[in-house]
Amino acid sequence: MTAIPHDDHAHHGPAKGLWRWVVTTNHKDIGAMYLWLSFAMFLLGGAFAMVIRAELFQPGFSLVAPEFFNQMTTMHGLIMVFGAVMPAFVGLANYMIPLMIGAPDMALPRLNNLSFWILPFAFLILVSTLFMEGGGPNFGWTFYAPLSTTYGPPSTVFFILSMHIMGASSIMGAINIIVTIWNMRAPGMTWMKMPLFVWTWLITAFLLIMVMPVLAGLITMMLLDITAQTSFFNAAGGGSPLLFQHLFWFFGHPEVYIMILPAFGIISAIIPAFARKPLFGYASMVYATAAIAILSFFVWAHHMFTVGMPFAAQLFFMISTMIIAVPTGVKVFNWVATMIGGSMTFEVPMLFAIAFVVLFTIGGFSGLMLAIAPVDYQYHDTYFVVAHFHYVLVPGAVFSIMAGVYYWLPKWTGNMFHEGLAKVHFWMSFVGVNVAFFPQHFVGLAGMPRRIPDYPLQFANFNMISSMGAFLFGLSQLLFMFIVIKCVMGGKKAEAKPWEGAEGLEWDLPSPLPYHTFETPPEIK
Amino acid sequence: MSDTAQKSNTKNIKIMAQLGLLSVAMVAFVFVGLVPMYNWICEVTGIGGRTTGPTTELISEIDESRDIRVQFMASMQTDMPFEFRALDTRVQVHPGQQHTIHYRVTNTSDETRTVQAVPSLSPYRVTEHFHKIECFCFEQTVLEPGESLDMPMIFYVDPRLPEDVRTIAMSYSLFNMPGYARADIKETN
Repeated sequence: MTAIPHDDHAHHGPAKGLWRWVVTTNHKDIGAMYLWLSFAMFLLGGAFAMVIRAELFQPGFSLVAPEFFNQMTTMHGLIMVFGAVMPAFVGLANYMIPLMIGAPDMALPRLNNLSFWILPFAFLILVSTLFMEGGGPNFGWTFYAPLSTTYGPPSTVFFILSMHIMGASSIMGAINIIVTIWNMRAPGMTWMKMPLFVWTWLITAFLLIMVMPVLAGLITMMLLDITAQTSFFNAAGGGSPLLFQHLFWFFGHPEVYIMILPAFGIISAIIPAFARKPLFGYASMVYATAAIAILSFFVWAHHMFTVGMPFAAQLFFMISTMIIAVPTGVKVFNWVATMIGGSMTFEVPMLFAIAFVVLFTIGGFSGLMLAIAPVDYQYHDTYFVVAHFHYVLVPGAVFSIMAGVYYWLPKWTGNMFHEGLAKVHFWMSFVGVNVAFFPQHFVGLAGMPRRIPDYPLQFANFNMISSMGAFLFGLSQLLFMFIVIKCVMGGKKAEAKPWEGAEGLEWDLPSPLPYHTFETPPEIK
Repeated sequence: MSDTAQKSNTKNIKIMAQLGLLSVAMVAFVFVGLVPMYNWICEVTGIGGRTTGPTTELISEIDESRDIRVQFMASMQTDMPFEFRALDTRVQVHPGQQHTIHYRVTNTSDETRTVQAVPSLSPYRVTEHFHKIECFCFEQTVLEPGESLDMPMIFYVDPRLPEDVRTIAMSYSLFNMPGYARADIKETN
């Protein structure tokens, strides 16, 4: 009997049908699912932002009830931080890290599947609270006690459950990334040869493992305070509401670097590619990233200067915060130095990357202003803070993700995206983001508090401008979705290396990527 | 699976276990490290003005050369069914001299209520020099409907009080205690 050709394990493609996505352990499948989930959450969180900006378009209670407005600000923050930005970076890590280090897959594929598939349930639970009696979480994304414990809606326990699931997913994802980078690098891929995206993610993953458990402990204490009458944050029972803020920001400040360090990695890949020059100061980039990560554990109380801290503590946290400007400045310097003297071209990934460098730096500077304790008393909890963190998160983290998506999309799909439409998307986003958030600096300095559904008349003009910018930005993301879907469906065939100056192992592979890659480790030159 | 792949896989599992342990340790650190550390720092430095339980050291010497003014304040949230005020709003004491003051609390609702007063002292740096021998804030108080109570507090100021301090402000916040068992708070206050 002649043997039927054996279906060699090494060459089979994905299984057929939708079930494939549920049981997949392939890093490209899981990375893609992370990215799609995060994009869905980006649109949902964006829809919440549109409600906020529509309400603030004019003074007065024009559109939604103040109670619902509070739920919108809270859910917008939670969904964007935990649903849009973090899973997008994890998705990019899943997709790209094995390719960049010459590994066949993530080190722990089944754990990878688990850490993705618990996420949709977490967000289902979180969003479902909006339909519960008493409404969803309405205490801001920072969920300060006792607002969230004594005075929170009954749905707070569901909020806590969903946060626990997200935390577990992040920790598992981070463990997987560290094990992969530690142990799966191709022979010859030494530490200081790793692409910066891999480096920044290695450091980010350590941050995640250190601080997501702090968040888990914190929300467990909340749960105990709510359901078991403990008094961690209840002054009447001998606890302290201030303890909550310390614990939250001990988690929260490293968390904001979790959302920006991988962005530094992406930008450090894109700028050299389109400047056609190696990255300036590779080693200093690595050390700067590590320095930022370590410093992030010593600055948390700059979020709470106004709680009545001793003078010495304010001084310490002010200075430690300002020191972070040094490694961050090193990075910005290196990106600019990479561009100087390079043969630059301005394809869409590069446009986003340059916008990142400029606008993230503006966000960094307003951060420095906020770090000055004596003036923070004026800025605290105003729209100036809102403007600051949106500048570092939207044209910072989100632009870097978009830059990364445009940069690697030809590699993933095998097709080029529509360059013209993508440029329209870039310019709409760029104008929209600045029109939306720059005026918020002014109303913040003039004293408009954050998280309010109504405001005095003198803030009316700037708020209307800000809302129009936000609508433009929101609209342009629908165009982004269209561009990506169009690219997935077809288009001009992409070469293995569609960007002339791109460096890295992923460009040695054909476009689109085969289902299995680097089953035999590549040679590292 | 080849030998090297097997070896690599074993190492993967090992690193995963170590990192998993680290994350579990971090959860534990929040409960047995950060929270006690916070309470310890508050207690040692007096930040937050949290005074501690009955004093154990008694001082016989009275420093009559100094006069310290001690002010007493009462606060609570506006929607609570109580009246709460200090009967002695201001006293002059010599360091080392024992003094008794009273707060009056009245339950204006038609239900039995349990209340707890939480102290805060200002300026913070004198917290360790303010000693309470007896205080209504050491335990919860049960009030029948309409009941009014004059609650005593016996204290003295330590003669080691920094020279530049002439005024101390003591504030009590009153809390309604639904569902809080008595045993819960004994230790912390």
